[in-house]
Amino acid sequence: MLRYILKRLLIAIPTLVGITIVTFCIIQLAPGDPTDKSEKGSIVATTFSGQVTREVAEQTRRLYGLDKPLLFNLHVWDDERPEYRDRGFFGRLGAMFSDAQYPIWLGRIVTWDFGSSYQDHRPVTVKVWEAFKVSLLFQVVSIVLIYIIAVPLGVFSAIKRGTGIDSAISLFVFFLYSLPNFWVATLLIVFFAGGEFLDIFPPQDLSSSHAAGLGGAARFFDRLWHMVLPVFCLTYGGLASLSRYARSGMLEVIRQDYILTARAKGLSETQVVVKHAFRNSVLPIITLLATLLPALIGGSVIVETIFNIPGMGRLLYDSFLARDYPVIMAVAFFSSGLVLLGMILSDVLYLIVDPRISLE
Amino acid sequence: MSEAEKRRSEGTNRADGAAGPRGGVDPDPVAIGGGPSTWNRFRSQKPPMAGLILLVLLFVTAALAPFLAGNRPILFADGEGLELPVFEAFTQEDFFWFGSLTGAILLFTVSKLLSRKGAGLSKESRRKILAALFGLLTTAVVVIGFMWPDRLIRDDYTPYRDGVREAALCVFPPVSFAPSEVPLTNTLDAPSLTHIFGTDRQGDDIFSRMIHGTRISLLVAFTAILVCLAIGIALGAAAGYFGGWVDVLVLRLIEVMTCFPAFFAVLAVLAFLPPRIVWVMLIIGLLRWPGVARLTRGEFLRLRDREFVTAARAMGFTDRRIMARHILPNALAPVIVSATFGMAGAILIESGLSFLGIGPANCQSWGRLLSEFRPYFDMAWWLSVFPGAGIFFTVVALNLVGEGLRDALDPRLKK
Repeated sequence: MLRYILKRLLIAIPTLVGITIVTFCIIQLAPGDPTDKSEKGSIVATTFSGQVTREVAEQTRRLYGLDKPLLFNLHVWDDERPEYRDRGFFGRLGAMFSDAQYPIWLGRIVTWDFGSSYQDHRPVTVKVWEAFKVSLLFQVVSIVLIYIIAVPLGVFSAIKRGTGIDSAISLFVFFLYSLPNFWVATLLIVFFAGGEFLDIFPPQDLSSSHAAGLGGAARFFDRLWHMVLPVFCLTYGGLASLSRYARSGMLEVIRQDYILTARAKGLSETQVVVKHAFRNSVLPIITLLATLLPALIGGSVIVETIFNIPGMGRLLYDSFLARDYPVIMAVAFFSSGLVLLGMILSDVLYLIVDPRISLE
Repeated sequence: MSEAEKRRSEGTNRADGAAGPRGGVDPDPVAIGGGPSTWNRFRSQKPPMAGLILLVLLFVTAALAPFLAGNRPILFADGEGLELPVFEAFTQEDFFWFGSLTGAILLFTVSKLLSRKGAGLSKESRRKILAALFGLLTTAVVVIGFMWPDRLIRDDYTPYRDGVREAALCVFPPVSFAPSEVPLTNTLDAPSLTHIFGTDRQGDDIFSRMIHGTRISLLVAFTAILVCLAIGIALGAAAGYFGGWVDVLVLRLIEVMTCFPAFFAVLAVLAFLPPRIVWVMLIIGLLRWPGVARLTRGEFLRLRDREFVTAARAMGFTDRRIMARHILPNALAPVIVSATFGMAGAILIESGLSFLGIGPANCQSWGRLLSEFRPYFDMAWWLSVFPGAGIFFTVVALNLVGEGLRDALDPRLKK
């Protein structure tokens, strides 16, 4: 088992490198860069009239290493360039694969140096960690809610298959599944948070402006109150797909011979369902954890933007707009790393739960 | 590769019910276009049919937008003969939509006529006639479309609508407001009989704007899924058929793509590209192919050692021919189903992006309408409800059709 996990982790490394290369190329090959003065959050100091001289932009680019080639440096073979002229063949070859933007970035990542943000010059790891904590809170709460609600719902409708209750649940879940989350979010805000209708929940932010002065319990409830609407938006979509999986997983199991045997033994229906069927139907739901992760992270961009929550999605979105390369790369690195970990985790869980699946 | 990993990468998600051969049942795939039976099975299900009808209606709405919503009369007569003012303002885009609808209706009628018992044509010759007609119509629409003149001088007919002037005959479209008149009167009117979905900040009719916005959603769904199918089928087929290092490479690629949250990636690319709707469609397609590739690979892997493939190989057919003519038709069913769901997904991504304000501002999609109305949401509930409902019902229709197709193409899966 340990060997298997290690093997999977080792395979994950080249995948992660591949992902970062793709991200790196996408963000750097596209037009516009952080020195572009037309961009929000340009890193170049502007003169009084807001003009950026070409030299200043050029200097800034050199300072941040943005003037170097992307993946490998072919300039090393150019004898006109003084910095490479004195090196031998292998020296140049080494420089070709190390003196470029991506290798430099990769080299710093290995030593856990993610650099600092172009925008406010704070260390990227600090920024990402702050955002991650916020996102994690929301993700964990919504994943737990999804599993708590969806699995019983799916199992229940599988037991009642063919009845009116089953089709009602299926229809309800189907509509949930088709609801665009940004629409749900805006409707929730319009109808439940101010506006001309009910004013129950706060429409935005993580906590009230006076939250800092509140006591422990009051502060906790304030936070909870702010989380209701966003968590609802993050939950309902995953809930829909998970309960469908739970239902079909259960249906598959309930037809098996061992269920018939259990019934024939005279066990009560509850015992048959809970002890014999349910445990076996849980299998496919575990794998779904892996597929839920990227969807949750991706979906949170919209929800975090609408509710003004400073999480990973918001951080990424803002960094894109500002061309804040170090932050974008770090967020891409961590989020895809997390997804990879989730995939491995679900495979390992699969192995643990289902003894029929062997390692080889 | 472990069993768990293999199971997932073959795309035969057990929970889907698409798990491999089940006890004793011959897993012979129900071929796509398996004659009337597939269609009959589809037709017998009520919700998917409702979805299909809704989709056809949406397509008709998109194609006939100028006839359904606009401030130019369809028929107009005032002394000097009958006029058709709608066509005066017909743009190239209008023509392409109108032309494709006319072509679709024509093709459908001809195929119905040909397949009547009295026609006495073989299936092969019917197919040939239809293919020729399809080619002819496509060429005609494209050629006329590119020669379509853009007339700049247009008469203003709004006085007739508002009752300021009178004409002998003046038939306006059912919704007699153009999507962007900017009258600056009747701003933010609640839904009423004149403006059934209310008006926006500039006094424009929201229903009219939504009718014209239908086109974007349908176009995005279609183009994105075509790109996605092209890449996904090509890579998945190669991986499943050839195996070996091709398979390993494609699988790694799929893994890289799935680890990349799709919405992140679309956002990433779009933040850096010039805002044009074409990019949005292409990128959604480019990022969603792994699902299709995984399914195609699984099917090819399952079918490549079957007798009919061996027979084809023994006859000396090339790999390309075996893949395209022998395996692909049998592998398409799950791919088609996932493509339908993919279209719904593409619409959701596009509207989500537009809602965030990413993408072309001149493109009046439903998501863009929502994004434009966002500052006034707390003043006027109809601004948030109706455009979102449009997206919702389109997605529901596509998902319904997808479910129906799944059950119709593979009845064994029906629970």
